[in-house]
Amino acid sequence: MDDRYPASDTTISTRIDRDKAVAAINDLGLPKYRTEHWKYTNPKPIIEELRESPSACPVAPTRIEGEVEILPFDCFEAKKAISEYVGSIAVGGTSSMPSLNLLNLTTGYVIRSTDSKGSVPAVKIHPSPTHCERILILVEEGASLKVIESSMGGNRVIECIVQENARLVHTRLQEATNSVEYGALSVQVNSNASYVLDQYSTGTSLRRNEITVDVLGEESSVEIKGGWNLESKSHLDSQVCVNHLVPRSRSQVKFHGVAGDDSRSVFNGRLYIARDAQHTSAHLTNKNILTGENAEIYTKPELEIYADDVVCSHGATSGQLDEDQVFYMRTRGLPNARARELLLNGFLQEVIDDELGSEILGLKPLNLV
Amino acid sequence: MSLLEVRNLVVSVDDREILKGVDLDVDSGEVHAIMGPNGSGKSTLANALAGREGYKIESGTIQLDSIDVTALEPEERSHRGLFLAFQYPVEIPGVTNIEFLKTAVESHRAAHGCNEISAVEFMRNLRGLTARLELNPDFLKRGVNESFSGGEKKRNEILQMLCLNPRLALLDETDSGLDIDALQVVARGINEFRNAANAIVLVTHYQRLLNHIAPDHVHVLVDGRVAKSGDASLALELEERGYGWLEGS
Ligand SMILES: Nc1ncnc2c1ncn2[C@@H]1O[C@H](COP(=O)(O)OP(=O)(O)OP(=O)(O)O)[C@@H](O)[C@H]1O
Ligand SMILES: [Mg+2]
Repeated sequence: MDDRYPASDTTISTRIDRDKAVAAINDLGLPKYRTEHWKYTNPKPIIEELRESPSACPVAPTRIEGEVEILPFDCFEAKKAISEYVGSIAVGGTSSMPSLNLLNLTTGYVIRSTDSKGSVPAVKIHPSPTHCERILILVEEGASLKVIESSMGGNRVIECIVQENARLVHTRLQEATNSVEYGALSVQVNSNASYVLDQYSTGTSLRRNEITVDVLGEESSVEIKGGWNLESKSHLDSQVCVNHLVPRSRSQVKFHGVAGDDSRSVFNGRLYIARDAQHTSAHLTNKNILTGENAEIYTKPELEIYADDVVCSHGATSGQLDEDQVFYMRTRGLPNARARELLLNGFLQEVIDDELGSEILGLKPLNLV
Repeated sequence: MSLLEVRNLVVSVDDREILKGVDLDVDSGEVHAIMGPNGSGKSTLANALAGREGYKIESGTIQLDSIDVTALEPEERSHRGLFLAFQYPVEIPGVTNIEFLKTAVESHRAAHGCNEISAVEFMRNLRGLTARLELNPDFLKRGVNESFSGGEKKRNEILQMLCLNPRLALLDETDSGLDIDALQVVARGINEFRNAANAIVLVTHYQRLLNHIAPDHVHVLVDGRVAKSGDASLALELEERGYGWLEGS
């Protein structure tokens, strides 16, 4: 056992595979600023935050509707699922951050849906700032689940398994806060299963999202979309990676972001199509609008394809509001500021189909019958 | 006093002089047609009248209802009753037509100190107008001009015009891209709009629109100047003779 990462004597601590996590950290090294995956974001505040003790009790996820199991990591019934899955889905790949999360865990939950009948069960995951949290979401064969996840700082790693013929609909609401936030999300999608993610983010001093989806089963689909609206000195870094490892699956990644004031937005989106993943359809886009004079946008879409019979595309844009559009609207009587506001709303609205999303991004609903 | 009075308007774009002294007087109740070869400055005139940035007014004045609007913002000109139907209407994905129209109407009402229109009343008006233009009501829910066909975009311009009910409508090639039936629908919309208190300036290349909407005056713009003005018969003459005889005049 590595003594740089002393184990606390909590039940949670005894249930996870610490050796494996330590090995991963030793292998990958601690994240470092200005290295490939941390080019524009300094990981130091995230690592430092891990050393702080939580200042409040964790809030357990709550059931909104339907039949769903929610087990804290320290209860007996969670033991088997933890040893079977935790740490094996968020293996880190390129980042040792999920392993650091595991070693510093202060709270954890298993959420499991086995319900394939009746209405779709739904769960709410609450913000737990100052905590280091791990959540395992299991959607069993043929089952479905809806998860609404809010965050306002803290360190949270979510591992999801969407079993055959299952469906997971995940909405992430990343609220404004002054604290540092790290969130990793790793998902395994099996045959005929679908995973849908909507993610909306507002400003924080520092927020880093790492999303990795492994497509492990044929005829499955992944739909990821979202937006951000950054003001003042906010910093948002999103790393999204979809790995197609089998034939005949589909994925779609689409993010729209607005960077205002002195904010910085970083997006790295990667589609990986393995040699065996023939007949994959995968598309990724990231569009950005810069409204702040000192705002910065760094976006990099990547495509790595080893199969020859696939339909894939990727693209990114960043620029200012289209002045032709602004003029058009002004000739219809919209004041300059109103025209710009409506254009930005519209730009973000393209990736929102949820009122919660509009709310998080500060978009005014339109009152029409 | 004219509704629109343009005096010796000189406009440059990117330091290139495009309009070289244009005069135009449009009275209430009139329809004017502006014709002329490609690149002669018709759209430049329309854009300059609407207040587009980058269309620098070097000299001359634009008066609307006896008020000099030369230095006004595009939205202020709109509030004063000027409307430009674009030759190439702009697509605005993400902003629905209905949202756009409602915001436009509200902006006009606010500028005139009127209170908000009720959503019910607004929708009732709008449904009536879409029916008149034979537009599928689903258009209202789509992004402004987003993936509309050329003809659909032009009809949408007329829908906006009817919603805002301007004093002066500048229609820049609203007839281009319309099929025969659509041309009739649009022409009917324009004719129904036409009254003694407003005026219409049609920029067009074709007599076929003027068969439906009889102009009181026809002007030919050549190389940034009004080379000739006349009555409706001038358009017919142009159809026959082309522009060659006016060039260099
Ligand atoms: N934004 C611009 N930048 C540079 N040149 C421009 C710009 N807008 C117009 N021009 C030039 O000004 C001239 C007049 O253009 P304009 O669009 O007004 O012509 P038009 O009479 O409307 O032609 P058409 O019948 O083809 O629509 C053209 O030579 C055109 O290239
Ligand atoms: Mg033109």
